[in-house]
Amino acid sequence: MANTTNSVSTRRVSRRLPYLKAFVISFLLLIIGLLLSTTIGAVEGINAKVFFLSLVQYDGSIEHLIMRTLRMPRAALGALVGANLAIAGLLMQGISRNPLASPGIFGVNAGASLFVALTFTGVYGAAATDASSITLPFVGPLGIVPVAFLGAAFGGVLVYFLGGVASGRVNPVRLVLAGVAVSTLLASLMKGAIILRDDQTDSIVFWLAGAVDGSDWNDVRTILPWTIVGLGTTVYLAVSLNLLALGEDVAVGLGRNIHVIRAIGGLGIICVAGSAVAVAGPITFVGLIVPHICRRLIGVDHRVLLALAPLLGATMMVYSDILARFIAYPFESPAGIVTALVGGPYFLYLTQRTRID
Amino acid sequence: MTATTTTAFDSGARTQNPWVKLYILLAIAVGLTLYSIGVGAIRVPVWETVQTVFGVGSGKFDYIIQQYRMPRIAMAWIVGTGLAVSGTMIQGVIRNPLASPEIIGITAGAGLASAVLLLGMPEVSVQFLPFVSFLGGLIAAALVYVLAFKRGISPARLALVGIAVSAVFTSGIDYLMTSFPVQLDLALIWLAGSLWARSWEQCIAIAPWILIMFVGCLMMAHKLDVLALGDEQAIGLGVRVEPTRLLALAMAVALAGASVAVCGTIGFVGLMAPHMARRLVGGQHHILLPTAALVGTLLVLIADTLGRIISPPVEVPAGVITSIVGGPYFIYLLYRHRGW
Amino acid sequence: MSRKKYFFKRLSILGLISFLVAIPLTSVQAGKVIKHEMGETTVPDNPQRIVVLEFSFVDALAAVGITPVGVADDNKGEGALIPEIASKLGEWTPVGARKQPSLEVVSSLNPDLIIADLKRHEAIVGELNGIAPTIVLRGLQGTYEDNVASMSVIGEALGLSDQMEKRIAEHRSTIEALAAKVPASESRTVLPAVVWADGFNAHASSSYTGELLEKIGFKNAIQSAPGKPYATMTLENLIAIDPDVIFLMKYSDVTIVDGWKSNPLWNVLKAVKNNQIHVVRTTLWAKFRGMIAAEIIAADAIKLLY
Repeated sequence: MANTTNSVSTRRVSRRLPYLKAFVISFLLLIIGLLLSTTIGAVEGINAKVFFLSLVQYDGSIEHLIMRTLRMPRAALGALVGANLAIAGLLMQGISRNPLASPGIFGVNAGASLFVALTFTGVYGAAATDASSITLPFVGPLGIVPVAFLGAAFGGVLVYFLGGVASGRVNPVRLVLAGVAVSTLLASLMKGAIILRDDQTDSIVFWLAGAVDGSDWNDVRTILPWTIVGLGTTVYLAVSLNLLALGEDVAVGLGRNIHVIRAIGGLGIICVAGSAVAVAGPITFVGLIVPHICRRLIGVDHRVLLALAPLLGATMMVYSDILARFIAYPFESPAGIVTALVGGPYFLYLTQRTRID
Repeated sequence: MTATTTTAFDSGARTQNPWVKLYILLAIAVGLTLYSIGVGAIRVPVWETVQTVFGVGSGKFDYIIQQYRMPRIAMAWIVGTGLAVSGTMIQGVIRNPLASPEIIGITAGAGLASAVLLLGMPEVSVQFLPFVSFLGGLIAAALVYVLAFKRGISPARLALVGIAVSAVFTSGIDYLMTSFPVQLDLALIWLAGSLWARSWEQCIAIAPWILIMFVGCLMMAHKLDVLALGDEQAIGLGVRVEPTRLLALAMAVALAGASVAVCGTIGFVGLMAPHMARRLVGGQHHILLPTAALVGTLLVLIADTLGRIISPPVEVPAGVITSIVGGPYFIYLLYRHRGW
Repeated sequence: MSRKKYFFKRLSILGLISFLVAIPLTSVQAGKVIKHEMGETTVPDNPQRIVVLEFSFVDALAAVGITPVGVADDNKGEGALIPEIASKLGEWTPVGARKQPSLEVVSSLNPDLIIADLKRHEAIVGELNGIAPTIVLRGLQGTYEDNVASMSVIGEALGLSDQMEKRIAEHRSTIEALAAKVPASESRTVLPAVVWADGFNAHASSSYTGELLEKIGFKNAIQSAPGKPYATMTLENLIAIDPDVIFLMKYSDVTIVDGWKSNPLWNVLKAVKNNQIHVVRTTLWAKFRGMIAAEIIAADAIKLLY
């Protein structure tokens, strides 16, 4: 297979951070981010001290309640969503050996959000006369997650096959074209649904930008198991992905079953990306750029990447959520806007570095 | 050049008598135009319709027929042609049947510019919308071209950069929509692409441009055919590849930009029409371009007519319908397409 | 094949494509000149068939006992209107969604006056004027005072200025009388908010409802600049602002507030402690503007608070 000429590789960076240093720095950044996230908000006077006291000496005061029931779940959810998206991106890029693969481009976000939005507008499940009578994130977390999974699978599988990943016709541009088309289709369907249902326009549009602002522990409980599933998948696949990176024939030659790798990876992607969309809406670019940043930092070994990517994904998301609060302070703006503002230009930069034949 | 020349992505259409097909298509389009004039939220008797079209009706339906249905149908011809011809040019240049005006950033650019106007500057009159939107499309396309330029334009890179720029612009639209929800409905309808309430003035303002550029494209037909053979071949045949490419793209951008400026983003027409036309009459641009124009017209016309009769008096924007049809068609294309 | 032949064929196609011709037809009749948001329009002296494209204008017509022939009702029929207004009206024809009314239906009603909203319909005013004289007013976007001023213009356009001015005066005194019921010592802050499944959107002091409530003496919990009428809020925002009274306009049966209720912080809110969370009629509070609606909103608010 002539994939080495056809596929794309971003330039290797010769000087890499030692693993430990990379981890320590990301970890510290995340901790600082979480602290900032829990100490910045509309109610003033909630500082790092409250953060620690509410953990060790919980007294049920308003400050402690805000810390424990609003800010902590929000920060935690941001971190988990970021981690999930990064895992999804890492798996996708590993399996498709395509540096531009990510939940956003793969149609996974679009699929999940279409299905969820249709649930909102009451088109999906036509019997419902009112959006709320079906499922809502906080009412029945179990209700919306399967819908999101279904949508994620729908969009992802479509792009996966059309993009030529399954048939080994790996080409970044083809994949991206497929992803864009599928996303456009799903997005227009969604626009149609929104236009035809007048009342909930604002709510859906806000949701579509992706945000973690109104989250509670239920959301965290919803996503956490899937984050673990995703991590497990990457751990299980790490060595296979490393071999796959050398070429499909190499992987096959060393006794790996490509189809099994793809199937397991695909399921893992649907779990992490779908659950992230279910709780936070379609947040873009985190899944795309975090794996790239990780590779620049520590290289291409998936055994290490699988730990660093979620860490950095979490960090990026937590900081984006913090920045989003200042757009219309003290009121809320969706964090997805910030990730897009940062990620979009990075995506452009990636296309500049991507080699195409 | 003979009629049997195949292009890089000729789908192997039978091209024995393409002109007959073209005229049949024209007949269908005219027939549909007449039908479309006759249907809508208000039932107008057939004979009354005919009389009104020729200005000898009772006068009762003058507005509905002459000022409401006819201009929007004329607009369907105009933007259908604009989008389809634009798509044909872009596919010719990028040499990939999956490319479309959406791909090179025009739609997102125009969308962002309109969103800025509609949402961010609500006090500015919407009369400026077409101008602003056209400018947005133009700027986006220029940006894509500049970013994709590396010792010439590689088609694949152009597509990739186009998508990236579109993604960034789309985020901008998202931002505006969430931050300025007051004008949301207006923006959504605009972004969905609709022929609702288009006037003769708008038709007259835009038709000459579309027509001129269409003729310009026809005059480039031969060069486009050669370009389709690949860069080396084209150079061998004495075509200056880079200037031709730039000119063709510029025309495509102007066509799509003008169309989007008056009707918003009617999705997938620029993608579907050239492809259907190619299957009908083959890949030679002198016939492909007019055929694509007719197919594009038909698509927009059908979408608009359907949108008017699905659940009157509420109208479904034409862009929503073309996307619902165009998406699966694209998926089918992609499934069949063996290139990159 | 000769290229010349192709050229002629091309020409013939172009000729066929550009076959549509415009037949512009407009007529001007005697009447009065009305000044509105988009210039001046000559309106017949006593228009009888009026089409209204935004809810607040229905309110205006109902206030002087006129039934429009057509209403942009978002395809919801009577349900789009509040019963207090619907009961005042006779038969009318739906003309489609407010954001995208069907001009065919509007035209088929042979109106002699169309009342359109500045923001929703600015782009189609030319078309509307082709059907009938159109006046453009601030319905969706205006402040409370803008709205009352619009009523005046509508009265003039209807040829019922005297009646309308009388009604406006009546409205002013009604509002004053209602305001008088609110003690000057009233220090509670209020916060009207639209809530749906996943969001809480507060209507601040510069929103229509906010302004109206301030008018009768209730201070809005969010004092906002003009042009920034709404605020997306989380439970924490709500706690930080802690309004004394909350009016909820529900867009769905189950809303984000139901989720908040399970949080102990919910009970920290003054409005919850004092049992001052009121669910109000969404159509009336969130979608209608106009004198009749304003009077009912104000009366409702006072009834709920005392």
